[in-house]
Formats: sequence, C-alpha cells, structure tokens
Amino acid sequence: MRFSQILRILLIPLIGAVATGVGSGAPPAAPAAPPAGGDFAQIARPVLQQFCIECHGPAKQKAGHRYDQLAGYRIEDRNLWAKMHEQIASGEMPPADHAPQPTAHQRQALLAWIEAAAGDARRVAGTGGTRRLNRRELSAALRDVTGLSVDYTLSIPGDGKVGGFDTGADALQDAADSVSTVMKITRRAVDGIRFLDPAPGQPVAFKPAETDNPKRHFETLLDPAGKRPGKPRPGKEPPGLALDPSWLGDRESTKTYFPIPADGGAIARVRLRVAAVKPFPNLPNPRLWVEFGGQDFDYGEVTGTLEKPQELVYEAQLDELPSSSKGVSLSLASRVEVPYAVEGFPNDEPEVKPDRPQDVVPGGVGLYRPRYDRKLPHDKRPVPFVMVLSAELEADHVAQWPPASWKVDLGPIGDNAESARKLIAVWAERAWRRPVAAAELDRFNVLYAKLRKDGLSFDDALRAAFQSVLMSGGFRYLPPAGDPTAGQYATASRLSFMLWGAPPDDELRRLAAAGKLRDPAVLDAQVDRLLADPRAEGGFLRPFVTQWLEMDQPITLVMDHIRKQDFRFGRHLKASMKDETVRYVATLLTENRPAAELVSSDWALMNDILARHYGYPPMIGGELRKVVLRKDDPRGGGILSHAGIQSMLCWMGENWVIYRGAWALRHVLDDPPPPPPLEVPELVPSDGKNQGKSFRELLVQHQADANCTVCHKKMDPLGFAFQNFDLSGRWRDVEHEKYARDEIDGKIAWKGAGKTRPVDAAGKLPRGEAFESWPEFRQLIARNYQDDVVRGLLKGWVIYGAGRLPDVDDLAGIRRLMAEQKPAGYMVRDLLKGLVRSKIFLGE
Amino acid sequence: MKSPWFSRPVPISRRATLRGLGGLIALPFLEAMGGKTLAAAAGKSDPARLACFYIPGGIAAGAWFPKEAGRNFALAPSHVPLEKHRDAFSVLTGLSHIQGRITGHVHPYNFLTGHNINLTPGAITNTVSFDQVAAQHVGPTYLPSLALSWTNGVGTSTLSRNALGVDIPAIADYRTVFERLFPPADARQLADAKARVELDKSVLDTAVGDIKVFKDRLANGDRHRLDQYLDAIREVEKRLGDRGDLLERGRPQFDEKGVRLEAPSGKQSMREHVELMTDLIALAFQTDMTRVVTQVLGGEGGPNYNEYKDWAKAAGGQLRGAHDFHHKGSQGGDGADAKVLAARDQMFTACLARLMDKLKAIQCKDGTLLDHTVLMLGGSQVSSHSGKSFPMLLAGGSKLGFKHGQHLRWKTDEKPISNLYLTILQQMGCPVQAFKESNGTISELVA
Repeated sequence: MRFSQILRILLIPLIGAVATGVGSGAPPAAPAAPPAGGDFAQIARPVLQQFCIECHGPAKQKAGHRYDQLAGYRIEDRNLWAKMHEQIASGEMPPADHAPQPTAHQRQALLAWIEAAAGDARRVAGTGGTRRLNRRELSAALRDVTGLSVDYTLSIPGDGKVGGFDTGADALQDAADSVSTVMKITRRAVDGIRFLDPAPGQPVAFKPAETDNPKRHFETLLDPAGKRPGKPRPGKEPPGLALDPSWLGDRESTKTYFPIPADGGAIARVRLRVAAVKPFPNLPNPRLWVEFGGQDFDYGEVTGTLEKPQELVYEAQLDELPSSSKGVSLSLASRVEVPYAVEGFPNDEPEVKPDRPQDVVPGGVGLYRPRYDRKLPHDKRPVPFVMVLSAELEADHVAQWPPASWKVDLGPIGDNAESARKLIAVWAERAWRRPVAAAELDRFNVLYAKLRKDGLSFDDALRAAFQSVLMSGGFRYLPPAGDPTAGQYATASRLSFMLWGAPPDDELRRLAAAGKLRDPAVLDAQVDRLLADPRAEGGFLRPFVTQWLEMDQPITLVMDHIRKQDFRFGRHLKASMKDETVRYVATLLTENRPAAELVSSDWALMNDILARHYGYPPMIGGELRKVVLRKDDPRGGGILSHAGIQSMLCWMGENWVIYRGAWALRHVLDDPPPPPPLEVPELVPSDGKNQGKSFRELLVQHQADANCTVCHKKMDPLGFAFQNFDLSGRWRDVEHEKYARDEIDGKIAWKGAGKTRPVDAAGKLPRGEAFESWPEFRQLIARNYQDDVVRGLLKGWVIYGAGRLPDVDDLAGIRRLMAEQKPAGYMVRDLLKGLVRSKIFLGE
Repeated sequence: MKSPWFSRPVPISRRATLRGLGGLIALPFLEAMGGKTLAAAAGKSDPARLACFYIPGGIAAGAWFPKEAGRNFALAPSHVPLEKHRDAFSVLTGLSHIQGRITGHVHPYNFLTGHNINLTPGAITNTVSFDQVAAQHVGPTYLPSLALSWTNGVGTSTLSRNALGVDIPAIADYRTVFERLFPPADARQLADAKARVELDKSVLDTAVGDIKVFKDRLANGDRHRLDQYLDAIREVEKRLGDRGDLLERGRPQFDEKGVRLEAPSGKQSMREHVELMTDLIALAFQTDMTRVVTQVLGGEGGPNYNEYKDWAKAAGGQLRGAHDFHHKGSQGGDGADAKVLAARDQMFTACLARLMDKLKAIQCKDGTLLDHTVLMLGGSQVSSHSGKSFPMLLAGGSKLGFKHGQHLRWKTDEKPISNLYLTILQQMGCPVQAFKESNGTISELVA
C-alpha cells in the first residue's frame, strides 16, 4: 500500500469525525482495512478522477453521488458501487454528450476492478443480511408460537424500508424504543396463554332459536344484567339474526359489548356461523363488515349458504381497542356495493335535482338498488342479506398451551419443575425455529425457578420464562439463508418468511433437519408448495406486489364517470382495483406464465364491480376471475392498463404525465430516475399562465432547462403513453382542459372541467423509440424492454427475499439467471425458483 | 381526531400474584402543586425543558418574514398573535441544513437531525436528532422524552431519532400520552408497576444470555446489528432502573379531571388538536415527567383538517387538500391559496402564544416555567421543495440565557441551523461542543 493511500484512509474518517460532531451518525471510522481487490489508486481512481469527479465530486454531486472521497471498496459503500457499476456497464454513464469518454479498455478495467473488489469484500464479510423481524413478521411469529389468531400489528409501529420493501436489513434496526415496544407485545402474547390455570372466562353462545328477537338477544348477550328478551320460538323463521344491507353511508349496525375484565389483558374471541341469503336470483353477494371497538376488522364477502354456512373467527386484544363505559363494542353490519336491479321494484335513487343534470343516469329504472318496504318478510325482500346462524362470544379468552392441534405429547403436566422444563423446550424450539440444546435452556429454567421462589404461580413464572425466550436473539432475529451455524434451519426460515411472511412449518423443518434444503429439486418443490398455501397471499403476494409497485397510494375516482360510486360503492371498488393488480401478478406466478404478460396479455381479472367499471357484462360475486379481453378493448392486458395503477398515479390531480412516466421507469422498466433536484419549482398546470395549455405545451419547459432535461427527457415522453387513462383508470378518447378537486357528501371527487380535446398519447421510450399511440407503446415495450422488466422484478425479489439491495455480485447473479431463462421465455415462477436456488438467496 | 390507538389505563400486571415480587414500596409522595412546578413546590431550582414543533409543507412567505431585521422590526402578519410575548421570542431567517439539504415530503426525517438522508441510494439512513441529545443530558425523568404527532408512527410522523438515527414512534392520541406520562395513582397499582419493573429486568437479563454466542457466529458485517440489539436492551434495562426509582416518587398531584383528553368539537380540528397536545406538554413540564418534547403539527399531504374549509371560504378561494394548499399557498403572492396558508401559519403562532401564556402562569423558584423552557416553532421549507431558508421562531428560556425580541437574518447558506441546535443544547447545560454541521453557536441569541 502506498503512503498516500494510507494517509487518505486515515484522514477521511478523521475529518469526518471532526466536522460532524455529536450528530455524526455514520458508524465510527472502521479500522482501515486494506482495500480488497487490488490497487484502487492505480486502477480505479484515475478513471474516476478523469471522467466522473466533475459531476460527482466536491463541486457537484449529481444524483447525490460523490466519488472523490472513496478510498477503495468498503462494504458500507456497496450500494454506491453497485449503482456505479450498473451505470457504467449499461453505457448510461458517463453521459453520451460528455467529453472525453473513457476508452473501452478503461471502462472494462474499472468494471473488472469493481467486480473483483466486491467479490473479495463478500468473501471477507459475507453477504450479511441478519435482520430483525419486521412488523407483520413479528405478529405472524407470535401467532405461530402462541397458536392464537390475534393481530399484534395494531401496536407495533411501521418499519423503515429499503428500496420500498419492509424486509431490508439496513432499515430494520433496533433501539431502546423498539425493544420496549417488543417487550410490551411479547408480554401480551404470553398473557394470552395458560398451562394449569383454569379458563378465566367461558364462551357465551347465541342461540337464535331461543328467541323471537334475535337482534336484542345478540345485543345483550354479554351484559350480565341484561335480560334476554323474547320467547323461544323453535322452528320459527328467521333461523338466525338477519342483517339487512345498509346503503347510503349510514352507520346502521348490530352492536354488542365486551366487558373488560378487571385485570385487563384479555382476548376477546368471536366465532360466527354466517350465510348469505338471496331471495331473488342474480342478487349480488352481501359483505359483512366487522368492527371491534370501532376499528375495522373485516369487510369480506359472505358466500356461505344456509345449508353450508361459513365460519368466521375474530380475536382481538381488548386493551388495544377503544372502549366506552359499556365495554368494547363489536358491531356487525351488512353492505351491498354493487349496483343491481330486480324486476318489479323501482329504483331507490333519490330524485334528480334540476341543477344537477349529470345525476341523470342513463339506463333507466333500478340502476343500482331497488326500493322496498322494510315490513316485507325477509324472504320477499329484493336484497341479499347476511344471516348470523350462531355465535360464540368470549370476553376473557386465554388459550390452553400448547394448542391441542399441535398434538404434542408431553406426558402429564403438573405443578413441578420437570413440566416447566418440558414446556420451555417446546416453546423455545418453536420460537427459535430450530432444534434447541438442553444447555441453551438452562437460564430460562433458572429464571422459572427463581420466580417460583419469589412467590409466582406456575403459570405466571412460566409466562415470564416464555417471554424471556421471545426477547432473545433467536426469536427476534433472522440469520441469512446461508448462515452455516444455524444449519439449514436458517434457509427454512428465510424461505418461509419470504413466501409466507411467517415461520417455517413442520415439513420445512424436517427438510432442514435432513439437510435437503440446498437440493435444487427439493427447493423447487417447496416453492411450489409454499406458493400454493393460503399463507402466500397475505405473507408474500400482497406485500410484495404492493411494495414493488408502490401501491399504497390512494386511488382517485372521477365523479363524472362513476357517479355515485365514489361515496356509496367506494370501498369494494377501490379494494378490487388494488386486488386486480396483486392477483394478476400472483396469477403469473402460480400459473407460471411468461413475464411478458406483466406488460402485455389478452386477459384480465374481474369481479362484479370491476366488470361494471370496465364496461363488461355483469358478473356476480366479488371474487376475481379470469376474463379474456374483448378484441376491441383498447386497453389490453397487463399491469399498466389496470385502473388501480393509473388511477393512483393521478392522486394529486395534475401532472399525471410526469408521475406516471416516473413510476413506470422506477417500477416497471428498472430505470429509476434520481430524486428530484433541490430548489426546482413545481410545474402547476392549473396556474393562471398555464391554464388551457396541453401537457405537451407545458412540458416544453422541461426540455428548455438543462437541469430538468436530464431526467425529464425520459419521464415526460414516456408518461404520454398513459394519457388514454382517465382519473379513474378507465379508457378515454378525449381529455379535459383541467381537473379540479370537488367535494361531495364529504368525499373527494375530481371533476374534469373546461374544454375537451382529443387525447395525445404520442411519446418516446427511454431508449428513444417513438410511439404514436397506446397500442404502439405496448408493442414496443413488449418487444424491446422485456429484459428490463424481468431484471426489475428480480431485483425486487432480491431485496424482498434476501433483505438487501443487490450488490455487484448479486447483479452478476441476476444476469446469469436471466441468460439461463431467457430461451424459455422468462416463465415467472421459474424465475423465482431460479433465484431461490441461486447463491443470491442461499448464500455461498 | 379519530385515531385507531385509543386505549385505557392498562393495569400493569395481568396477574395479581406479581405483587409479591417488588417488596415494600414507599408511600407515594404527593405534591400539592398549585401554580408551581414540581421543583418549585419542593423549593428547588428548575431544570431546562425543550419543545420543538414542526410546520408541515411550506409557509405563506409573504406574511411570515418581517421586513426589517434587528430589534425594532414590525411584526409580520403571521406573527401577530405573539405580540404580547414580543420580548420573549425571536424570528430567525436564513438558517437551514446546508450539507443536509433534502427535498420533498421527507423533511421531517432530518428537520432535527441535519443528516442528508439520501446519502445511501435506496435506503434512508439517519442520525440522532438534537432533542434526543438534550434528552440524554437533562434527565432522567419518568419519560425520557415524548414524541407527538398528528398520527401515530414513525418516518415522517415523528421528529425524534435516537442515537442510532432510528425513529422514535410518535403518539397522536391524547389519552395514550396522558397515560404514558404518569405513574399509576393508587398504591396497589404502584406496587404492581414496581414489581413489573423487577420482572422485566429479570426477563431481559435472562434473554440476552446467549446474544454473545449468537453474535460470535455471525459474519463481520452483521455483528453491529446484534450489538445494536444488545445496546438497546441495556438501554431499556437502564430505563427500567430509572423508572423504578422514579416510581418511588409516585404520581404527582394535580387537577386530573381538568385535563382535556377529547377534542371538544369531536371534529377534525387542527387547532383543537394542537391545543390539546400543548396543554399536555405544559402539564408534563410542570409535573416534570419529561423535559423534552417534539411534535409534528401535520403531514405534508394532509390530513385535510376542517379549518381549511373556513380559511378557503374567508379567502374566497377554492377548497383544496392540505397538500395542494402547501404547494399552491407557498408560491408567493397574496392569492387565495396564500391567504389560506397564512391563516394556518397564524393559527400555529396563536397556539404557540397560548402555550407561552400557560407556561408563564406557572411559577418556578426563579421566574416562570417559560423562562426555563426553550420553544422552537419552525419548518424545513419556505415554498414547496425549497429547503434554503427555514421558517423559524425561538421563544422562552430567558433563565437559560436566551435573549429575545429580535429578528436575526442571515444570507442563504451563511449559517447552518445546526448552530442554533448547538446553541440550544449548550444553553440547556448539555456538555456538547458540536452538533452535525455546526461551526459555532449563535451568540446574538445569548445574553
């Protein structure tokens, strides 16, 4: 190592420390390890100096990057190096108009140096990626170990994100406050289970046959002073508690109250058997809205029938929920959100006001809900309703542990140390997701014994020991999949947390024990099995797609097109719009379809409300089904034509061209623009001087300013492709001069106003290909950008599954995987399997 | 405001038998406080307090900045509610994060830290916020610090970041704040609490038994993460120790029924929300349950509080969402949108004036609680996405050596706001010589 280099390594951290003082958060200067991968000063620095420092040095830090302070490849800077490598390798940097350009040899030398240095660094430090469980994983792991179905996320704060994902190790840190929170949550979890103690409460059963007033009966069920009204009417209709559908945003519901036990800490448990009753053919399915303490718990479609009812179970930690003097409320309501008509019943639409001609809905009578006399018997009403056939309510539920369903045979359990030891061992194995040696458990047994001596009961002392197991590293932290010391149990955990968001099950643990989890065929079979399990939906498909496509943005709907729907039928439609995209990507995975279908296909998923939204023939039921698109439907299939995507990118009401273009670059084309520069005023289309101009006229401003052009030359021309989608994500051929925010019944609506003009959807793709229309754009993107789309998806999986931004080595792995799978047409599930089999996921 | 986080007083223990654990406990020492601070009631001198408030979005610049600098400046329209406290506050113009300049909706991340959070592509990194540096040195108190907000959570919902730069979750619900603030009132619950502290200590102590073993098996790059966990647990244990000691003092006596924990109108009112929170802050400071508070006054993109309707009507303008008002009202001029934003700014300063009234009415051994409290009201942007000059008011703290009644103005990028933070820390008696970008203190503010 040269002297100057040593000096530089020593100086940089020192200067940093002096200048930043107390607030300096960067970890203190690491001891100066020799830079890996050969001589930085001789090979890499001169190239950087000559071609990059001008824009990424002391004077300017374009895209926030600065290279003059680099003194070699440090693992802490791996993301910077990965980005640099990508940009140089793709030819994106240095910019084409930048003179001088490096020679091919210089370019290669720098890339080779980066790859070698990255490889060296990884061999020394490993891929890393040990991280704590995030919010939803912690809740799932607690549910797994306790056997309860309580949602613990209610009081866990959200997590930081890496590249938009909540599984990134760098953002999952711990500090006193997060640990305090986990103390609170784990205590709640252990307070929900018991061993020798008798059950503190008993479920109260609601038996409709014993009353002629099921509503009052249900409402007073848990009230100790409440008189059960009504007389038994065996065999009389109705067979249960009928929940009439409510509309018009009223809050009609059937409520009962859970008393709060004096010592708090209880779990309320509700078991319902429900059926959807539809007295006329072709009625939509009702939804059951369940609120606990005024908080939303469920809004699901009811599809069970009187012959084959549906069972629903809700568990909630009472002290998480708001209460009144009566206790915590449980309210049940039924909603119908799909417009429908029944012959013989008029439409219940309020009269159209003369000054609101836009309310006149074409199509005549009964457009969205029939009017009927509430005195009609249930089986004569033109509405679908939810029938609660039976219910079991328990106000102080504490579950026997271990759950009977585990079928663990521990022999007789009594108030003695041996029983405690056995229970602690079962708990620890489940909590730590691996076999546990007896010696590892000594200290928990000691804690148990000490607490017994202090006067605690068997159950209380054991609960404390259990909580202590949860607070140790084995529960809270996930080692990387390749962690050699945890054996293949680390792999099992990583796999199940990736594809289920939850701990591994028996089969995965058995395979880990047998050492089979590095066998490609076994891994493939497990990916298939895990994806087919219902846990994949909430634990992988939904969180992955939502975060990958940044779908947590609100959906906008336009009053003019949807009319009443925004405020009366809003929830089901908005949820379905998001579901459409999630399920579409999920279908590509589960059916192993070609990745090209991400952006171009001839099918879509629809349900009752989406069929209506898109103008397809009526459907019954909220479940999404595959529909082959009409030949004349200009939208075509693929996530870019999903109403939910295009609508959410309009949520600020203006500037859609830019947001949609930037979003497509970031989330679909793997070409994310850097964050907007500082001090740049925003382009506001509704500003006086800008009003009435087309987007194209406005965006000329971006081309005029060199600061803007850099990024906007890609975003703006691309964004024009989506101009045929209106604020509600539906197809349009004309656009309005402007769109204004309006408010109706307290809900937001966006209204088009002013003159209209034909939609102008001509633009350019990032590599310069011009298109004149949406169909042309789709063709081009499917033909020329497949690799980019696939690479973006794979990068997303790397962050999600391995918990880190892909480094230089991972990017090489992604390239290999793509080369291998391209000939077969990039089948989506095969890509995922390939990634799981690779060392990106499995480690070295 | 509607928040999903209401909760009741939670008994400390689930099981009565825990009570055997804590041993004997001293009778709670109840203070008859009246209009005095806890320290004053005991005839002692008061420690320093700090409250920082963050203004979301931009401001109506035309109405915010006074025309003249110096001592004899005419109050700017947005600061008129502070007229009666003229000598107890200053306007600071031209300060900002220079190295740590960022843009967009992420401002609350670094408002109090000054860290350039975009340094690592794709990941948000951060460093300690200066309120937490203060909290480290001015305690211990029953609560080390209190992070408040318009919504529960982390990220842009909170201003406070701990020593590792990790977000400290903020609370938006009045009842939760109230319940966190005080030890339980009755002796039985106190004994429970004490027993729980002891039990928690044993649980944690046992839990970390294997961390060293676990850590030794990890790759180099990962060890720091487990160090972090271990440090966090030690910090929790230390807090448990402090808490145990503070529990001995019991719950201070004050008019608990007079504390408002529900918004009177029951509507989404921004003013009511801020007022209820600042009432709790005054109470927390008076009873000395905590000495450091931060509060995010709203989000960059909402909520769309009810007041916007009235302001839009009064200004004769269109009703927009809070986000659009932030954008359109901060572009200068005196259009309707700017008037709406100015009305909001003035409401914030009126809330500040109200808090100052409250603190001024509480006596210390020397001076009033206002004289021992540093209040900071400011934001990170003048107009949307412009972080060059922070709107910033500093008030109170005369007994800590602050000198007010001035409008101090600097050129853009002349002084980092870290200098202000350092000045505050030093006047509060924290033994720190630098904070983030600081290159000195602001001597003009100090008597």
